[in-house]
Amino acid sequence: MERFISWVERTAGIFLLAVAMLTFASVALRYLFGAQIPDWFDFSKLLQGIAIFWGIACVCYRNEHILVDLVWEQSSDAGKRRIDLFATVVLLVFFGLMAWMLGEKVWQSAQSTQATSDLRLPIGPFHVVAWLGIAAAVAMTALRLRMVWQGRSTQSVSSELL
Amino acid sequence: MDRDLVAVLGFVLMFLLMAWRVPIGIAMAIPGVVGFGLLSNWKAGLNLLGQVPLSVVTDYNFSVIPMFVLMGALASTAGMSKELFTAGNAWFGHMRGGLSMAAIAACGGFAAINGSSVATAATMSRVALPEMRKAGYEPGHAAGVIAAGGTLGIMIPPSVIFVLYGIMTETDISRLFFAGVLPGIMGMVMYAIVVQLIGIRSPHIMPNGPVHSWTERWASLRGLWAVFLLFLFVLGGMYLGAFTTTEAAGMGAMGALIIGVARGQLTGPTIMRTLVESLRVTASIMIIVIGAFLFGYFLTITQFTQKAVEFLTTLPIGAYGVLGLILFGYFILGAIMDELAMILLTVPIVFPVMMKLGFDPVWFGVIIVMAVTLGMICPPVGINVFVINSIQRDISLQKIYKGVMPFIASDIVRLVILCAFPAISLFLPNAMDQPFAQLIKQLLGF
Repeated sequence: MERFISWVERTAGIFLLAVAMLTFASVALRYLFGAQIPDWFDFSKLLQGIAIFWGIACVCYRNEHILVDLVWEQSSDAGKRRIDLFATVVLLVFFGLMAWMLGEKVWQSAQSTQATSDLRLPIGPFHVVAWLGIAAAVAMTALRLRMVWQGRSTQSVSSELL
Repeated sequence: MDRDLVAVLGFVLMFLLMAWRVPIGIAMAIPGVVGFGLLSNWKAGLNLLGQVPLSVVTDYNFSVIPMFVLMGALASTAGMSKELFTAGNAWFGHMRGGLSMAAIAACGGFAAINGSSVATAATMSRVALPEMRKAGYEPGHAAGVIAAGGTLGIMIPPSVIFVLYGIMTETDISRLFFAGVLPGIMGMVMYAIVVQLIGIRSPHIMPNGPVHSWTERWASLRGLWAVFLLFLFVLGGMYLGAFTTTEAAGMGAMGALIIGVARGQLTGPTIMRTLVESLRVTASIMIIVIGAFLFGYFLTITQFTQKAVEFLTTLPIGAYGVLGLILFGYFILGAIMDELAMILLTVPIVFPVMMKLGFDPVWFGVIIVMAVTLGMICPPVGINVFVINSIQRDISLQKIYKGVMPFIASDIVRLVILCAFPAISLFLPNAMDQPFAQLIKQLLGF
């Protein structure tokens, strides 16, 4: 699982870099040659969406959500476990509903003729890949729930870059 | 169901979920969806879940967040934060409180290439704090300096908080960035004064360091070219209109990457590690943004914002009285809530109030950031204090809070000054429209 998550994180991270590179290249081309990369804007935002949804799956797995720990910190070990169980169940239900509703929307998008501005590439497949990120977030949260239930790793790791 | 009752219950549910450790973004999203469903119909409420998250994450305006996060992370990995502190140490280290001032200067410098306060505090906790402790500085004071210095990250541009405020209020983000420059510099100067005052009272907590030769001092500046170049590239590009704010963020990220690779400080594995770190931070932030948007729909349908505006603007306490009331609210909220969530939750409500009372949107952005700054270091939930405590476990939260108290006092004074003299914040954004700036733009062909 760790290897899979690591692979997902790296791929999504590369997508972020791709957004930066597309922006850089489009500005450079605009000033140097008065030209632009076809669909750079559409590609940037779609890659960004994919990266963020897959990033959310990784955040769910690593439990790196931004949380308020005020009550949790003051609780006993049993209390902490109860709070973690409650929060993880809520998270699982929320992401489950989101995956379901988003799935409907993505299905409609895949059936439609929505396309990118310049190259007229269908955007449905991009949305499907993004949706898979949220589906993965549901799976990761379920995995997390099992870990919490078994009393393993309830501590979250706060992101230090934020 | 009564709209007012649902609005109140929505807020109660949100705070309860937050207290029960539900991630902040989800704690905002749930009352948003449930409340919207209650007041319209359940299908419409659930439909929000299918539309809002996708439209938020594929909104190109929000690319500013991952790109500025990436820029700061790459700059830090490339060693720019270390170079800033080394230079500060060489120039100020021998003075009373010299390392504290070096840390403040380094925080200010790092803030100029990074948009987050927590990132600034975390980075400097690793770079400056060990050096300060080695030099015999009292740990609580040293950590307090870094916690306060870290807050400069969101005042000195680029700033994630300014970006979110700008997107939500449709205020020009580049003007907001320039508005933050002078208050940020003012913050650095005031923190340095606070250090000197502490030094006069308790010189034993900040022993003088060795004097560096002039050769060493000038040599320490050599490493700073990258920081200045990156800062000028991003801010200069925006100032001259060469690129938009969203483009500037991407350009900054690529600029940091190119500089780091050119100097041999960024390699394949370190770049990949930094990309992954940035991705995780971005995803955590974007969950809150999605939650705030969902909660925003709920606020709209309850007409809570209009009622809040009507209530606050008719209070018989004058415009500055209302401002004081709102700032007091931020002070309370900042003590229990994450800063990003606080901004995303409250700005849609308080911004229309401030506009109706005739305040300047750019100036109010600076005031909001100042209020957030206080929340980041005030007990009981000062995120910067928590971050430092998580990195330097042997410095207790109490010690850090004690160390940061004088700087909180300084921030309150700065907030009052900025409220009393809006020109401090508005001088640079207004200068963007002056003939001189227009002339430079024309000369450079932008």
